[in-house]
Amino acid sequence: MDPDSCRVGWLDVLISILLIGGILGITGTPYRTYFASAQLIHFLLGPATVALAVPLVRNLGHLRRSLPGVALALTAGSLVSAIGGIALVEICGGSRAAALSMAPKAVTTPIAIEVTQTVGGIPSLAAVLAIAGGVLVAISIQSLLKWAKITDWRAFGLAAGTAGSGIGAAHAISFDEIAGTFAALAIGLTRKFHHGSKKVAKSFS
Amino acid sequence: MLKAFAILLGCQLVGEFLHRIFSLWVPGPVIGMFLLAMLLLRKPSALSEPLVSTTRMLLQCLGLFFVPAGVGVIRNLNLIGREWIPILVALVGSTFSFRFS
Repeated sequence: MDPDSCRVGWLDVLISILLIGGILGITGTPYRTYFASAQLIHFLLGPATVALAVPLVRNLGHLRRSLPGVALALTAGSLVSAIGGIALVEICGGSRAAALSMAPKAVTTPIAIEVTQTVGGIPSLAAVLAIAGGVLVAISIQSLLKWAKITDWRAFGLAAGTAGSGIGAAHAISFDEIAGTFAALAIGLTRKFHHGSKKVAKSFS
Repeated sequence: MLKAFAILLGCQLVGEFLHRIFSLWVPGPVIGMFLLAMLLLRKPSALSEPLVSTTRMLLQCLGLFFVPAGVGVIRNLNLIGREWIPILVALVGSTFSFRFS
């Protein structure tokens, strides 16, 4: 099979979700019925997450050189995102459950679901928020990085993976394998990317 | 390709196993990702051409695999309708905050 024949972008994901959601709404089909039949597609999320190890290992050379910067960046950024998400919902008068569903959206969708269950949020809302964040990143990342004058594929991948979770990573991989590697790393460590890291990461390259 | 898929599923299985046994909050597939990375580092010959092409194919379709979970939005329409302002502000705010902090 030609691998390029199956390139799924953020727009495809967004359109599919809206379309399927609309059809389910119109026909009055319960989500559980749909999900049972889409189980196979959902199941592939697992092996696909494991598969991120391959670009990670293949580009380990790049990774080693920028490791201190990456580590620093991810730690700082993750705190900003989680605390910021909760605080913003509470400030704007949202409910506790919505706030807690916001916290783990920086990580991959499966982790977000898991963490939300533990802290008392709504798992399906967390999944949707994680995906929405990913779509947001996919739409904006190129112009944002251009605006910040960043041309480093590693920064691209890290930013996509940390801010945009799986969708962001999928977006990064479709551009460049090194970007995909850093997106995988970001997801694996479930941390967020911090602005200052670019300078630090560059100083180690 | 079948063998490559078996390797991926095997890593996920072991990851899932560790996740359950030690009740870790990191999900099985993510543990599986680290296991596969360690395996490939110890034994670089395991990084065969079928494994590379299979994973590439899977990763290019990564977005598709999020669709079933994403459709779950229809179950939260009430909550989102009620609290769409805080949710939208926080979603945009926390996604971009790291770049301006």
